[in-house]
Amino acid sequence: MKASRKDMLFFLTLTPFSISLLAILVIAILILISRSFEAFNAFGLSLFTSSIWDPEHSRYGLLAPIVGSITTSILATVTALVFSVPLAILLAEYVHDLVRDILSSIVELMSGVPTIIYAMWASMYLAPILKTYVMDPLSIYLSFIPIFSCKPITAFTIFTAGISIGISITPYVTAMIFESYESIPTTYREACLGIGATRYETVKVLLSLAKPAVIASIILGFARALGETTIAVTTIGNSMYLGSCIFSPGYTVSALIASQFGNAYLYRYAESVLYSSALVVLVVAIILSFIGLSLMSRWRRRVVV
Amino acid sequence: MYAVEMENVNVYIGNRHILKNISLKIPYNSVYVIMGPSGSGKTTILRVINRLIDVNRDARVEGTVKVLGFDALKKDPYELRRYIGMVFQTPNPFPHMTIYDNVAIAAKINGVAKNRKDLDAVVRWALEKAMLWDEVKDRLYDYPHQLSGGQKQRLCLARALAMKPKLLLLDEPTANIDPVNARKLEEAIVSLKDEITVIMVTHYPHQAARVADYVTIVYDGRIVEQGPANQIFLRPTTELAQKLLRGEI
Repeated sequence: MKASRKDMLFFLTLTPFSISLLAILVIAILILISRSFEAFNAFGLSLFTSSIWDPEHSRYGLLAPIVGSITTSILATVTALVFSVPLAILLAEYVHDLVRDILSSIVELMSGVPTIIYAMWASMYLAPILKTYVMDPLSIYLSFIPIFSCKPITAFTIFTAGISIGISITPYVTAMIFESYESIPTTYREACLGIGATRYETVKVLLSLAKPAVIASIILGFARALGETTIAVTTIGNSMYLGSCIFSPGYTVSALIASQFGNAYLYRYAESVLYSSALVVLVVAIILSFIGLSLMSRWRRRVVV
Repeated sequence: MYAVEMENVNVYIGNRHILKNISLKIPYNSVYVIMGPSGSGKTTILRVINRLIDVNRDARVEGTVKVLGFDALKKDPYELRRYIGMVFQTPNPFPHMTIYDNVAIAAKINGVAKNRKDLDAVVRWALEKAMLWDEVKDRLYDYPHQLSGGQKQRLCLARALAMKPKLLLLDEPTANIDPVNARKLEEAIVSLKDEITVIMVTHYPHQAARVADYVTIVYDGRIVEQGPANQIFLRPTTELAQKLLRGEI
């Protein structure tokens, strides 16, 4: 067999696998669109502007879970950022090679831990601690700020879910920031040292150089937090309440789907409404991932290559 | 008194013996050129002087290194580098900073300027010294990717000068730029020696002849010959030096 024919055969063997992956995504989107049609037709835009959830009377609104998703994702991203940036800098700049290898292995291991483990840990241990030592004091001393204005009646709140999801995505965000920071060519580090910069000043310059990559990591972390289901459904309290306070129970779109999908066939429109909410999550996650990945690759082209 | 004094300096990276018994004395306010073929240890000498060798965790330095009167191997490397600017072989301006900021950052880090007016003056002075001011004065807020390779390298020189160093290390600064820009850089280097001691690594004999007051020839980690530039170029005593100057190595 000629070499070119072998190449062609090899190419033809690989292609279906690559195409099928893309096809699965397209099919998933098409199914979501077709199954959402009924809800869109019945409720129109009010599906996204109303917060009423009354399946028995066929009244549906996704505003509460959408706001819940956004709020928990913001909280999660901020939490992840608070831990990730210092951890990434510590790993890249300050620790010995051996310690770095051990710590980065732990970070990688943590990103592989099933989310149900985080969910169990968060609901059993983290939530009560957050309630006693964070939510209760904040609701007393900073109650003039609308987001802290309610007294938490339970430990399972939007705040708890946000922090818990944030901890679970921290390894993922840390790994991305660390990788970006490490991929900055040595020549820029040497440029800093060559003008008399201290280690702190070098970190400042290199971090500002890596800023687009950090922003991309934040966006990708946000997208991941948006889709997080197990931790959300376990820690958010699963309530359709819509308010400005983050110490109240709430819902995220993913938690809503996970908790309601099993019984949705019992109610008219319920399945279609859940499909439409899944479509929203998927589209937003795809757009965010696309923006994040584009930013990251543009940064790599400009700085790393 | 010398700007740099090295005595019996040996450098090892892992098990490799990179510099072997290097001894040299570099007078203040001179252009001192270190020549030699690729891999002979020229850059390592520069990196020992400003302790950039420390970045390589496998590196070990033995001997005595005095830089500007300090015991360089004992002094805090970050403190030592406050006095020493360095320009690298490949131009490396910070891509996320404007031309102005690329120069200003060095002045800020080293506390050279107290206010914005001072900073503007330092940036202008450094760019003029690097012979770049006329080409960029109307586009100080452009980014370095809009400059040519030679302009980028002169920007790096301006950045190093903005820290007002006492010692300037140039590691083959013209290796990656065109001849016209290389000449401009050479002119800038020669004009600097009244204020700064310049140590330049190059493997171009003609360039060394144009700028050097003193020359050291390094081969395989050892000094083959050293002395005033005229003496080295007119009457090289070793065969290796003669071959190197003829461009045969």
